[in-house]
Amino acid sequence: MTVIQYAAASPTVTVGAVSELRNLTVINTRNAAFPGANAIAQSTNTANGVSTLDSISAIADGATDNVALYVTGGFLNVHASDVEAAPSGTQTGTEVGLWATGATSDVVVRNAKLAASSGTIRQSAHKELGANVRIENTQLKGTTFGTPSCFNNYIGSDFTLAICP
Amino acid sequence: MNKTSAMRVGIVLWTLGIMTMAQNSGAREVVTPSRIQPSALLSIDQNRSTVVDRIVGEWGDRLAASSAGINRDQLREMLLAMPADQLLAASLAGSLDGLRNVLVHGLSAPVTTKPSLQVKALGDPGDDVVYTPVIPCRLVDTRNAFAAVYQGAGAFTGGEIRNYTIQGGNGVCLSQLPPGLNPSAVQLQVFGIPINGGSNGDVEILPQGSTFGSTATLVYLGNVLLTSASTTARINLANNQIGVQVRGGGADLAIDVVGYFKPPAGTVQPAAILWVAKSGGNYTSIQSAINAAAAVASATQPYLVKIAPGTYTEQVTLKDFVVVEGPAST
Repeated sequence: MTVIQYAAASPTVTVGAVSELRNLTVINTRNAAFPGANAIAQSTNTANGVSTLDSISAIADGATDNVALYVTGGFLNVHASDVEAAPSGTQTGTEVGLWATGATSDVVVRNAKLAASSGTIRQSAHKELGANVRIENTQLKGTTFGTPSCFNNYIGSDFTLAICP
Repeated sequence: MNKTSAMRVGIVLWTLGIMTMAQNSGAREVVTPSRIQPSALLSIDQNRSTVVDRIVGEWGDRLAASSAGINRDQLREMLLAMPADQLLAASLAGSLDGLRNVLVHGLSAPVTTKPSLQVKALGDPGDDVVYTPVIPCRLVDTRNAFAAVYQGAGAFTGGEIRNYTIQGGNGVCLSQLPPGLNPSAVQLQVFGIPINGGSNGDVEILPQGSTFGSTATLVYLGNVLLTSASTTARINLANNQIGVQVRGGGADLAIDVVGYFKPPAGTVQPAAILWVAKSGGNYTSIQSAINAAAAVASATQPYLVKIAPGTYTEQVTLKDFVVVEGPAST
């Protein structure tokens, strides 16, 4: 097992290049309120860039206000990955698996898991106006916010079809 | 001169021509073309059985009765296996000795294969590009008249240069030019609309950052409402952009993408692998390995940073053309 971990307000891993991240666990455990822990973030793409996360565990598990994957711009593909906020299940703030915002944000999630295990606001995916989010064949734990495009997603506990959005 | 004699004279003259050409080109070689053959020898090949029948009919019995020790069937077999030029010589033999000389030469002459074509399969990602037509989509419309990736912005003034990224956006060209497509060239239909009746000029499209002024993609005239041209435009591969300059009196432009050129899809092998490990690797820090790889990596020579098992406490920023990979099990 290979883990990249950090505990700071800025993300553990910043993507947004013509690159791919594979077979890794990325953790952020910042113990502070907003902004809390953030495992992976992308704010833009380089000129030719589409980043891909493949078989990644992105975990944000600080004291509160955790966002596992935070996208404010650019294209990002997420495949076969666990994106989890607050997996320890004790947090009471705003806990979000994937948060996408910004007019240029375009995120595709396939065959993955988006989860928030606790929180006053507990969302698997949070899409703000302008962002483009597509989620397919993915386990969702926590509600979705906004209007992501969803296909064939399910709830992990009983494999029933997830309501999304 | 009867018809048969006339034909023989014609064949002899034609043969002399062939021999003259062979002499002029240096040493006489028997060429076994792979695809393209001289049309005269092709005729011999296409009528091989007829030619062989004639030779066997004329000389078969006499050859069998001679001291050569070759019967009709053996002669037929030899003739059928001969290269076309040797068979032609055999058909022109005027005596039994002449035929025997041709047969001996045909058995002993070295065959030199000199391919007339450089055969290479399509699909070399280093050399080839593949053209893919797309449903035309509007990349640029300065008039704001139709939906375009770059819509509005007004007419070009004379000498103005604008740069455009070859990628879909704003709901236009999204399927035709998806993110990450990164073609090496695009096929464009360019429309020039002069701003007024006195506006003449030209349009030049080059890879972004190029020096303009030596060529023209389209010439527009003020008294012509709309002029159109089709062009293949190369792209600045570093930023996926083209540059467009309008010279002269100024004009609105509309540019449609109708297709693109791109190296054939294939697996690009990493140029090198850098190992990150607590000990024994090339680097102990992930970011150090990424930075080192990014300094030399490119689209055709991506680098792979492999990370050994363990926990690495650091912040990491990915760079272009560098893949970061842990062991197969996370």
